[in-house]
Amino acid sequence: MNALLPLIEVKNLKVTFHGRTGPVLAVDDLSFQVSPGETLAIVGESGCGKSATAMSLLRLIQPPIGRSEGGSILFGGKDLLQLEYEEMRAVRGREIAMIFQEPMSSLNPVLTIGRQLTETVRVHADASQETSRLRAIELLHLVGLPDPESQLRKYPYELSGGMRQRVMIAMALINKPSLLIADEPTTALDVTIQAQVLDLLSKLQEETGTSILLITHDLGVVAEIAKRVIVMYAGRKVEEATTIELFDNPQHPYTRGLMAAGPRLGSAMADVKKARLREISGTVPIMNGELVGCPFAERCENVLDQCRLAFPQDTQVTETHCVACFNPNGAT
Amino acid sequence: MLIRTNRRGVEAILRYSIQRLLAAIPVVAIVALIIFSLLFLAPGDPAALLAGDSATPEMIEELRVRLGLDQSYFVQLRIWVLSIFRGDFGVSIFSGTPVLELVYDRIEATAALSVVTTVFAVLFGVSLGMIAAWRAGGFVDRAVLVLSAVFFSFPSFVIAYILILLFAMQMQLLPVQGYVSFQDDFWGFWVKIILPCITLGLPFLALLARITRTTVIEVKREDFVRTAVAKGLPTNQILMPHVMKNAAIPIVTMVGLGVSHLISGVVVVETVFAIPGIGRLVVEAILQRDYPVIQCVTLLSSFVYIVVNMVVDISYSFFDPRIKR
Repeated sequence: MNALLPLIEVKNLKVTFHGRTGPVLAVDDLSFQVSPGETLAIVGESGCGKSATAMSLLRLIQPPIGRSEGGSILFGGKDLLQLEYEEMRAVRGREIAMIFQEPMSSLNPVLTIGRQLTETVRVHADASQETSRLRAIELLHLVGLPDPESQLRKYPYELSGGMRQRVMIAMALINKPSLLIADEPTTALDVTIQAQVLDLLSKLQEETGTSILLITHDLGVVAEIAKRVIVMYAGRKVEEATTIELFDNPQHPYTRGLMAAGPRLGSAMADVKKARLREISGTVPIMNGELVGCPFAERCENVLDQCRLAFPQDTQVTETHCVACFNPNGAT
Repeated sequence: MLIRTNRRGVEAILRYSIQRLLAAIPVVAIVALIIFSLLFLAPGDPAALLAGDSATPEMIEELRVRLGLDQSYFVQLRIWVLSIFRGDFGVSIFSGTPVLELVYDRIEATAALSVVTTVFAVLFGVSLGMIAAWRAGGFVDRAVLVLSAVFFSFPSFVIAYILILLFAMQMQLLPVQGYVSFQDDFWGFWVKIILPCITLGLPFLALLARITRTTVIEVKREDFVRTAVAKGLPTNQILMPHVMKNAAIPIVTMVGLGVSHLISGVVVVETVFAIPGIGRLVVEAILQRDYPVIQCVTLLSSFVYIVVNMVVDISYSFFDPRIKR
């Protein structure tokens, strides 16, 4: 594929969930693109719409739960939101694959690992039982599971959390997808296993050349493997930059808040008595359509009057860095 | 396809089955004791019935002595138990035929009726439940919910007469009643067994449709179903095996309960459709106080009940590997 062309281009995506009291806007007017071989991270706190974004790329949000209402997702010259069911099914698991947050519950508890891996091959290709079995062994080997052959006969309950997530990764990569969506792949794992899984993901990316869309709330994870980052807040993209730019020069007050909220080695955290992490006061507003203006306005230190009237346009900071804020520098 | 097993698995199942059957012996013994005691205490005297209206008290007494009914509770119990251990279930008080022969002649009709009914109910009940759950809130779903409530609440003799009126009397498509063995007349067997099976199976089907619907809706929300969709699996593969193997345990439990329930259901259906089965045999026996027949049939049905439960328990470990045998 041409390196200049984006692999996937999301334009003005809008996702709503059907809440008990009416529609709730989970993603609003979100645009981004992922280049071939690139790792893009979407960060934000719970409920900011990052998982909803990931799910809607595979059209996993369906009525009656919710739906993608507008915009387009261009992938390989097609708009995924316009595809027929069978066309979409051909994309799922073959061209775009997904790893989920909970390796415990994302694997079917009553089917063997082997069955779950081989069916993923066979549903998309006319492969024999034996070919798909060999492919499954190859992938389990690739993700570093010991004795892949015997793992095939095991059930998920016989594996640890880290091993299950490796199986999930193997399952996602088994058809060599061009885009891998990883939705909080390390959240449910121990810290040591987290690092292993992240290493594995970047190693596999180098080997396979797949693009990764990483969904996380953990800036540490972002720093580890992402080249570019999108910060989301209440369904909106508030800042987009390369990882280096974002950490060196965060522009949006929310991004700065997020960074200040994390522990840092050698900072105040070293003094255990003063060990209190900074937090962003207030809570995330519920986007039920009544809110105009910037959703962060109520929690923002730099808030201006115009912030409550309209959502700010993207401002370019550099060529690769843009922010949606009227007052990133705190002028009054 | 769903169930793969190896030699070790088969051995484990055999061992488990034998254990279960041995453990069932006390249960059968207690059932036998209760049946015997109830019959001993129940009013009514087979000798009086057998002797007829014009019999003198002396004639009845003589009959009682001949049948052994004048003996005490414990003596009678001992005689009965000892003969069972010899495989002798006695002779019918009225016809004089050995009880085992009576049961053997009647068992085919009841077995055929039960098996066909179960297959019918499971096939349609589970499919309807699956369709209803997959399109929860849709037309099929609402229809299944309403109809299952209706069919489950209707007594089977009402369903039977409605079916006879519609299909046998009005449209004249099917015979009103009767039974022929499938060995004698294959098509006749099916034609005659349709209405009895629907009658017996509708409440069973309704129950299965409901339980399947509820379970499938629950399993559908699980994360691994989302994984299956994200993998690009077609709907039929998501349902089978991903959803159904997880939903199987409550459904199989209900099938087991339903089969046990059929044992009592056949009494009504066999009477209405004039099928010469165990159900009618036992009703006649009860009306005549034909003790040996009643005792044998009740023992048999408690044994069937135990075996059905055992099969259901064994099937659990097939559906869920986390359940150890």
